[in-house]
Amino acid sequence: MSEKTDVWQGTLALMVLKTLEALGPLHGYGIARRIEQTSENKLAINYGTIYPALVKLEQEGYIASEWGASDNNRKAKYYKLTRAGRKRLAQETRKWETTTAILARFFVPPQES
Amino acid sequence: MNIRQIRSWLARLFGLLNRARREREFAEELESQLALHIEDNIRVGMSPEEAQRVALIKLGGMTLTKELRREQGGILMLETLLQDLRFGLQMLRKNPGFTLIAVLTLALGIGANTAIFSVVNAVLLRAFPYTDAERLVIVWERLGQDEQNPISPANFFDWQEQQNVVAGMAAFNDTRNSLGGDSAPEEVMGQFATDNLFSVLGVNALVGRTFAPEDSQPGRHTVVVLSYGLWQRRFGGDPNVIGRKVLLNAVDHTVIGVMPPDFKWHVRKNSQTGQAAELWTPWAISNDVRQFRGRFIGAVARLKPGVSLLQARAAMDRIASRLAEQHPQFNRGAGINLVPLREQFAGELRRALLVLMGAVGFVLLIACANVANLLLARAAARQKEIAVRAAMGASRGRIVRQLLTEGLLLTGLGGAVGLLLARWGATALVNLSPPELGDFQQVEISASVLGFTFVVALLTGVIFSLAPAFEASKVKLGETLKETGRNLAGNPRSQRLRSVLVVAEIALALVLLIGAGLLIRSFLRLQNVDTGFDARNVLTMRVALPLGRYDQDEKRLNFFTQALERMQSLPGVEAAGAINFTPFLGLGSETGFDIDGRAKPSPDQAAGVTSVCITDQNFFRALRIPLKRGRLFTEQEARERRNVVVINEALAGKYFPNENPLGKRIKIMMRPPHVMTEIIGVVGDVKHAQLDRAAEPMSYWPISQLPYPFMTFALRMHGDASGVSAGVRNIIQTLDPQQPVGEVRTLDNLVGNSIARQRFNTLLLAVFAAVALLLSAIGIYGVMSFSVVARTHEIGIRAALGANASNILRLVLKRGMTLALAGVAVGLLAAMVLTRLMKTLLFGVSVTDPLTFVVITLLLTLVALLACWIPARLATKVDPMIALRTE
Repeated sequence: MSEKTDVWQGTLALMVLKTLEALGPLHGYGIARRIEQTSENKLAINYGTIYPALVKLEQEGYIASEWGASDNNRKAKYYKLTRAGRKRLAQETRKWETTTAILARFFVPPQES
Repeated sequence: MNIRQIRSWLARLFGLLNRARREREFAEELESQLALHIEDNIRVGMSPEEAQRVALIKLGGMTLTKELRREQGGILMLETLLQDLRFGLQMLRKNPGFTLIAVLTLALGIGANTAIFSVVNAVLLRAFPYTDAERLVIVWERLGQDEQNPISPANFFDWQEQQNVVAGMAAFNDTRNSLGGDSAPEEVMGQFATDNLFSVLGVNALVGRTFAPEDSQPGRHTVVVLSYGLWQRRFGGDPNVIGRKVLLNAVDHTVIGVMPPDFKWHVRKNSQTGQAAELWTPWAISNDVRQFRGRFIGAVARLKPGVSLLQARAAMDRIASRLAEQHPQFNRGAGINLVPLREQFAGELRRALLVLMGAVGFVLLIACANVANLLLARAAARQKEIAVRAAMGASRGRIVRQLLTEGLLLTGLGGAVGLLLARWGATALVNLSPPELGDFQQVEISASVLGFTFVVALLTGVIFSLAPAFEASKVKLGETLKETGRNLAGNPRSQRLRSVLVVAEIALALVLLIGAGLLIRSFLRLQNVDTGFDARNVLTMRVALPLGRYDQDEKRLNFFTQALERMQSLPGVEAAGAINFTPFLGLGSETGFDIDGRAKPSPDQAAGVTSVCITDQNFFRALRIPLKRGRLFTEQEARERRNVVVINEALAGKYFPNENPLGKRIKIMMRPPHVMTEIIGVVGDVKHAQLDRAAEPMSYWPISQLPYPFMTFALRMHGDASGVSAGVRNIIQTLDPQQPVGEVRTLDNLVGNSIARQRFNTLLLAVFAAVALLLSAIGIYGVMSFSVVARTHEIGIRAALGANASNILRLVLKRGMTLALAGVAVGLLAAMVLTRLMKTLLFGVSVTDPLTFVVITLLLTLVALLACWIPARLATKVDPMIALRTE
């Protein structure tokens, strides 16, 4: 597995967790769609690539799944955050904020005094 | 690895279990997701077809998505392995003939290796059951040519006092004992030993205690330690046996301890019983033992920590030369020899076992070559299948892995069957084995043997399946797929590889066959050695009289003369005689002698050395030892001391080369008074202990002159010797109801036993060579058949162009025999080098014995010719029409 896909997988996992936090239990299609919309279609992903990420998160115990009915009464598998998932998300968010804050100092031109 | 990762891997592992259900569930999930997407698409105004197409594209394809999830869901490597295994098993089931031959071949190779290794393990590798056994050494005297001569007690105590290199040195001596008491008297092997024997060995009693220093004081020495076996057999494992009185050699002894079940202390070399002791008594040390006479005890010592064997030897050498100066009469030319335990016990077995191990290694290599050949042939036949797999996207590594898995599956099966063979083989080996093997722990399929088998099987599998696997993975896709079943023979390179394997096989087989041939020839020589006596129909029986009850010469003499008289009148007995040590018992007695009227080489040196045999007048008749000159004892002379002696030709030739020995007088230094004794006769030479040694100078003394307390009766029978043993026992019982009878054996049996080790080596190597011959014949047959089938087309063309049957026969035979002869040439060269390792195992045959080399080469060539003949005959039956049509 190359470094690039590793990064992508990690980012994707974070997006999945954030989406589930924002919208509550959701099926795979919904998650993929939401990620696309949130990125204002700047991120075009194959919906299929979401599934390995979901399986991995579930194996690690950050999300759980169960079968339920969709709005238009279709049977679908719903994923939801677990407590471990929430904790992880909080951690990752803090890490992300620190990282961006540090990076921001490099990219924002220094204010003249 | 953190907890989340572990959790993830566990989930993956479980994912393997209910894979089918998970796959089904995921298919359902995908279906539903796709449906949701399509509905959304329709809602925004797409046609149903358009909606479905867009949804599928957006997903990235059903199959690929499933594959992506599968990779995450399980453990890919393990799954592939399971898949390979399943497929491999299928392939093996589909070709039962191939599977059977391959598995049997491998089982034979692996089984033989395991069986021999189980013996090697017991003899050469496994630790002895003594504390720090590698620091134990056996101590011998070095005397003239003899590196391992028994020790004189006087010397032993001097060494013990003067040395500073060993932590302890204990002496022991094997004895035969009459154990009486509650039940019938029984002869039991025992050992008397210095009180420190058990502490030097570092072994404690299971029940009670071993010896304490005060036990060796004369008068307090009537205690006995029992072996576990004797305790169970004779005392029913009675826990209250400690303190019990038993009648040992007509004297009351107190039982003080029982040794653990696996304890055994037996040094075969120079043992006076040849059997492991079942009881131990302390050696009562009186001042008398320090007199310089007689060498008969063995000793074991424990090197001090930090002292190497070399240092210890050097230190003991210094002591020996000092003692030689102090007591020149007794110790001139005497040294001290320290022998590590393993070397002492394994002795001559070591070389034989290493040769056998090499031999089974060869058998396994041949088996590998055969199976590799089979696999190569099959890989050629499977080229099409492999090409299809490659076309479907299987990588080269994946194909190699598949073929390797199949190979390992084969060895796995072969190893399992081989283990069964080995269990059976190890039992057979033990039954066949020479008596020396009894000195070691049980030969068994232990954990280390299992480990060995596993490693051997694994290596075997890798070795024989790698070549075919790489060969197969180099398939040229386009060509193979285009070709329509023609030329299954595979590429010329794989054909060449097969040829090389056959050549190697034949070379290996030739080396083994020559080795076996040399051993067989040597064994036949050994068997045909003239012993100097007639061993057929002779029963031997040892009787050892306890000195306690037979304390006077007269009593002993009476017992033996009466017994002999009664035996003589038993039905079927032709002659009944007696001797102190029968030939091939493994024991003897030797001493120096002086010749009347001849100057001695030096004041403290004897004129000569002779074996001392104590016999009655009928012994020579019983063994049919021919009288060459003079006369034998009369009955009178055997009963009364008349100072006459009979010598053998070797003694006459060595000490009286150009004169008539009759009437000359000699004097032996055995029991005072030393009296000059007249030589009255010369008898033929007799081999006393080993067939492969020249006869030694011997002198036969009438029993009246040296009444030994133990004698062996020898009864020549008119017919079968074994029938008379009950009658003989009866005679002993009537003469002395308390007297047990020792081992009763036929003389044939004793002589046979002396070459048991050679028989063992020969038989095994012969069996392995036969297996090798069979396997390599199968190998060359297989390759030639395959090449005939592969060349059907070519042969057809030749036939169509007018080649007749004999042309074609010659064509195939020529190719086969080229391979065979190449193998023979390589094998001969290897044999020239390798048979040198067998030098010490051979008797009367040179390691490059031309006859053996020629006969074996012819034999192997003939077998190879036969193996090529069958496929060659098949080739002549090729119908050109059919052959050409099959294109």
